[in-house]
This record gives sequence, structure tokens and C-alpha cells, in this order.
Amino acid sequence: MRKPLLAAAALALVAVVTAGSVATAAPKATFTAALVSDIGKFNDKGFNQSQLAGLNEAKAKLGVKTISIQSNSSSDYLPNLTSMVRQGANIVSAAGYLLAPTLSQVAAQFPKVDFTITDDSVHGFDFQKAKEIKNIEGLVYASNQAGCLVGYLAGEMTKAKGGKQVIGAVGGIEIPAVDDYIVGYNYCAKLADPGIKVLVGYSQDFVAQDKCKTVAQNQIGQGSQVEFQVAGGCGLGALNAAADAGIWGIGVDVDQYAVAKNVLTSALKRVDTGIFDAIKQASGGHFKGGSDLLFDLANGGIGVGKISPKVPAADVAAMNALKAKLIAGTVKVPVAKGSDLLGLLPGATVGPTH
Amino acid sequence: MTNHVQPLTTRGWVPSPRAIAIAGGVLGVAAFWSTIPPFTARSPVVPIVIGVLAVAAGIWATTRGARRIGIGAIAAGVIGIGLGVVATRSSSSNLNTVFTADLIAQILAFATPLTFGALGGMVSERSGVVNVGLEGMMLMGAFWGVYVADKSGSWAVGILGAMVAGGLFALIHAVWSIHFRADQIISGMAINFLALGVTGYFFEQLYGQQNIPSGVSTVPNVRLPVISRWHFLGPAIGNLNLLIWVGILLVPLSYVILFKTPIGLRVRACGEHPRAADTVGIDVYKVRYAAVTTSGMLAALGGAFLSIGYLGGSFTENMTEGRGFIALAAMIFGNWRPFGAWGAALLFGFSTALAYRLPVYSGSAATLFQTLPYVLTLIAVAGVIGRSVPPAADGRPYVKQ
Repeated sequence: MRKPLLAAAALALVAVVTAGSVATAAPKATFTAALVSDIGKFNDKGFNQSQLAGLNEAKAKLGVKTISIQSNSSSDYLPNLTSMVRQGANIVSAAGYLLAPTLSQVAAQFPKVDFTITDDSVHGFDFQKAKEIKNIEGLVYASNQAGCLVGYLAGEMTKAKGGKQVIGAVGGIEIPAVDDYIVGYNYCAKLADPGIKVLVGYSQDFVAQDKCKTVAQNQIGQGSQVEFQVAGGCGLGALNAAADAGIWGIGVDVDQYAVAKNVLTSALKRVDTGIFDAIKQASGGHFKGGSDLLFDLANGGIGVGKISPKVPAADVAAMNALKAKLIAGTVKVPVAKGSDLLGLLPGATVGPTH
Repeated sequence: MTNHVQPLTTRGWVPSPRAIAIAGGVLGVAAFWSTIPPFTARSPVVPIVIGVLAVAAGIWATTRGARRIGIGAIAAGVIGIGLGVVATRSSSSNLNTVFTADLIAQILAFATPLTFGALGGMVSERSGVVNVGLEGMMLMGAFWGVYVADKSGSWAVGILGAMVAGGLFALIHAVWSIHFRADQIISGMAINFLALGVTGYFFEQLYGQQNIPSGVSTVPNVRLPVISRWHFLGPAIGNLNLLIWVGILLVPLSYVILFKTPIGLRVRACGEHPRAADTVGIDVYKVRYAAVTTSGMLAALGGAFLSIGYLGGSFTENMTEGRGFIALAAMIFGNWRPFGAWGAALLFGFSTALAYRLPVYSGSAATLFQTLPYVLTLIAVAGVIGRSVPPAADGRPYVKQ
């Protein structure tokens, strides 16, 4: 009986303390950078956590003041974004396209503040109706390239192992930011192993791990030998299913090699670099509102995580050769239908997910 | 020599309408079953013939007194024919994707938290205390189960921790609804919200931005070496989580305790007629306190199954996602009886597992399919199928005179 009461009291206290620090913050001269999470929250072992790392890096290396706030539900986006502005933030980063509709309102209200949005283009659908995008910068990632490299590795491993030539991908929701990965995965798995079948399923969720686990299990039941998770925190369940079944799993966004057993590698999207670069620009007075920053293999914003030592060196070398071709532009990876990358990656075409 | 041996005729033996009606119900299920793997009848004649037999049995039984079960058999026959014919029209590769041995394993996995929750709710309500706080108790079990397992390094201690946490939360509900005679629905809802806040708060405080580390000790799977080689069923049940088996075993166990032992009789007496129970010297308060606490411990096991069983050591806020409420619906659907509740839990498990597989037919309807268990809950709660009768004193605080 006492414990929950104490907890409730503590909760209230925390709320008061954080609210208190709001009021005392923001001396005029310092540059303040802020980050608002999406509903995945900062402990998602991926997308949001990585962006927070980027913010912390900016604090350490650029000496800016940083504040961050978590969104527990989508109704938190508006109060969180405005509260960051009221706390004196000079640049506010929205951690993901989910915040786009809210951001397009808030940015118009506060024209003097710089905003960035991860995984979304200011020229894309989300900002079509926005009154003002001159103070928003889109941070766009060529995740199709990361999907391609891990897909190539998955194809090679499956071909070498023999048996049913099937691999799978578990997406969160069927949206371009997810499908860019999967289109690349599908395209390059077929470069390595032309006869391979790629199963694609969506969990309709980015948080609940049991959903991704079930989708992955169903693909494994159909003979899948590699499971690529593209569903943030939910996808940890897919890696768990792969580990249970003794097949390979592939992580997403950050290096998830240590998150589960049997992780082949991870498709990296350096959202931390994106946040850091944007803050660096803005604090130096070079913020380019109304445009997008593209992160790809060439500038290191996209990459591949730790590769399992069980992968033969020849396969890693073949993947690196493909990587060089992607950077040189001699091999072009398609993107998902409706992707923001269509206008940003030179010569990008739309490809299928499976 | 053999002249005097009577042939074994069944002349004069007439099966009871009830038995025929139950057989009709089984045939109705079989009508659909015949069309899916591993049997996969491809001709619509097969389910139609079996289904018609089911309907005939149902009509026969209905006209001879077994009305409720008879109507059930007719319904099962008609639905069996419908689903069976649909299945024969569907491509066999799609069928093989949907109805695999893993489906059975998944049904059991999805049904397990519901089974624990429903059995817990049943114990509490049989003693006369409505428990809508199952969801919260389950959530407490999920969080403290993984926390204690992480810190102690042992899943067994984790389960114990989950049960203590769930039991403590149930005790709050018990004090409010038995001692303070508060409205039990309100107290239960308060438990749910409190649990959401408490687990969310401690999750943030204890694990912060790091989340739960990998390699937490988790409840092991039970490998059955002989059974796992059986055709079709082997891969389905040969390697299930220990807690799934515990849940299944608890069903007959709770039946025996509740309906065949003096303890069970006392619990039920408190739920049906507490004054009478009091008159014969049963301490109604004590029984209700014990029942509610047990209920929380059972629900917490369901939560622990989620965090350190099925999902291998993880937690997310609001991890139970309404499973406690579905467990409550399963209990009502099952008419406050262990086997009924288990059957309902399996049905919900089946619909959940099926919802993940139906997108092979239509990817764009994937979100729609996921509402299947909730639609079923609505039907169950609306009481369309059979009228559920709660214990007479369920939800009424007892005032000793």
C-alpha cells in the first residue's frame, strides 16, 4: 500500500522538478539545442536513443546547452515541441516523421526558431500544407543503401547455406521510411542470389515486441533464413524470434549486434550524426531552413554495423566492393514508392519490396 | 453351442440428446477442420457433408430437449460449412502458410497470459469480489518479473517477484473493496491506472535510457524429445515455454480446487451467499482477501510470461496492452468456470494468431484483421453466445452483522 503511494508522490515530485528547471533555464547568450522524441522514446535501443546520443555529442563537442523531452503519446508532440521553444531552444529537433504534422504547425508559430525533422523532407507530402517551412530543415537518409548492403550479405549467406532460398523483413508500418530499407534489402539480396524469395510483413507497431516476434515467426515458418527488422523497438522481438529459431537476424538504425544472439549485422542510419550536424550548422549560423540535408554512404550518414565473425571474409569483401560501387554511383539502388529520396538521390527509381 | 449368445444389438439404447448435440458441435468444427492442413480436403463436398450431419444432429437434439447445445451445434455446422467452403476456394499454398504447426504453438502462447488472467479473475469473482484490476496486476507482474530476474540472475526468483508484486497490488484492491467497501469496479480501474504509472515510473527510473540489458535469465522452454518427432503436432507442442504448460495444468487444478475441495466450496459460498457462509462459521473477509490476493498472483504470472517468458527478457510501457481486459472477457465468456475460461482464452489466442496470418490474403486489410480478438471480446461481453451467470454476490461488499 505504501509503495504505490510513494511512487505516485515521487511521480508528482518529478513533474514539479522538471517543470521547475524549465523556468530557471535559458540565459540569453548561450545556444540551446532541443530534441523531442517520438512515441518510441529514448530507451528504444535504436532510433530515438541514437538521436539523443547525437544531442549529447553536440553538448560535449560544441559546448551548446541541450534539453530533451520524451513523448509518451502522440498527443504529447504539440506540448513538447512548444515547451522546448518556451525553454529558449534555438534549434528544436523532431525525432521522426511522426512529428511532421505537429511540427508544420509549430514552426509557423515560432519563425525565429530553427527546426529539424529526422527522416522527412520539407518538400515531401507532410509539409505540403504547411504555412511556413523556411525554418525547417529535413534530415533525409538514404536508408535504401543500408538495406541494400545488409540484403546483399543476407543473400550471400543464404546462397552459401543452401536449402530454401527465403529471407524475410519485418516492417513497422508500410511507409516510405520503412520501405526504403526493405526495397534496398530486396534489390540487393537478389543481386547476390537471384532466385531468392523475400517475405515482407508489417507488425503495424513500433513498440510492442510480441507483434514483430509473431510476424517474424510466421516468416521463419515459411523457411526464412535471415530476418531483417525495420520496426524500431518492436523489431527487437523479430531479432528474438530469429535467435530462438537459430537463424540470422539483422538490426536496424543502430548497431544491434549485442542486442540479441545470432545478429548477422545491422543497417545503420546515423541519425545521431544528423542531429549533430544540424546543431553544428545552426550554432554556427549556417542553418539552411527550407531545404534538406541528405545523408548517404558517401558522407557516412549511412553504413553497416558490426558483422558477425562467422561471416566468411570473402563475403564481407564482396559487400565492401558493392559499397564502393554504390558510393561511386555505378550501382543504383531503387527506393520505395513515395519516398523522399526520389527527388534527392540522383537517378533514383521506385522498386518493389519483394 | 453359439445359439444362446445374444447379438450385441443396441436396440433400446438411445443416446441422450445432449450427447448428440455435443457430437454435432464437434462435427461442425470438423467440417472446417477437414479443409485445412494437415488434412486439406480440396472438394467443397467434404465440409458440406460433415456440416450437414452436424446441423442434422443439432436439429434432432433441439427437438428432443437439448435446446441450447442443439442450437449451438446447428450454428457450428453452418459456420463450419461456410468457413470450409471458403477454405477450399482459397489457394492451397495460402492455406499452408496460414495453418501450420506453429499456429498451434502461437495460439497457446497468446492464450497463456489470458489463461492466467482469466483463472485469477475467476478465483476473485467466485469469492464475490469483481476484479477489473487484472490488467494492472498483470502489468506489475510483467515489470517486476523482468526486474527481479535481471537483478537476481534467476528466472525462478523473477517469477516469485512477479507474484509478490501482483499479490501486493491485489491486496490494495482487496483492502479497498472488502475493508472500505468501495465500488469494486472503480477500485479495479484505479489499480489499472496506478499499475501503468508505477511500472512506467520505475521502468524509467531503474533502466532509464538504457532499457533492459540483453541476457536476462528467462523461463526456459520444455523440450519433449519423443513428442517433437510426431507428425504436425510434434513441432507445435514439442518445444513450448514452461509457463505455457503451467497455465494449461492450472486449468484442471483450479477446477478440482474450486469444485471438489472444501476450500473451493468455502470460496464459492462467499461468492454466492456470504451471509449463509458467515452463519456456518466461514470467515468471509479472510476468504475474500485470500482469493483476491491469489487472483493478483495468477494474473502476475501471465504478465511474467510476457516479459521473461515469450519475449525473452524485455519490457515496454503498457506491455500487457489490454490483455487483462480480454482475460476478463474470457472469464465471463467461460461462465466463471476454469475449462470454459480456458476455451475462451484459446479462442482469443486463435483469433489473435490468425490475425497475423490473414494478411497473405489481403495485405491492405492487415490492420482490420488485428481487430479480430476485440470484436470477439465485444461479442462475448454482449453475451450473445449463451447468457453468463455471475456468482450471486459478485461485486457486493459484505457487511458482517
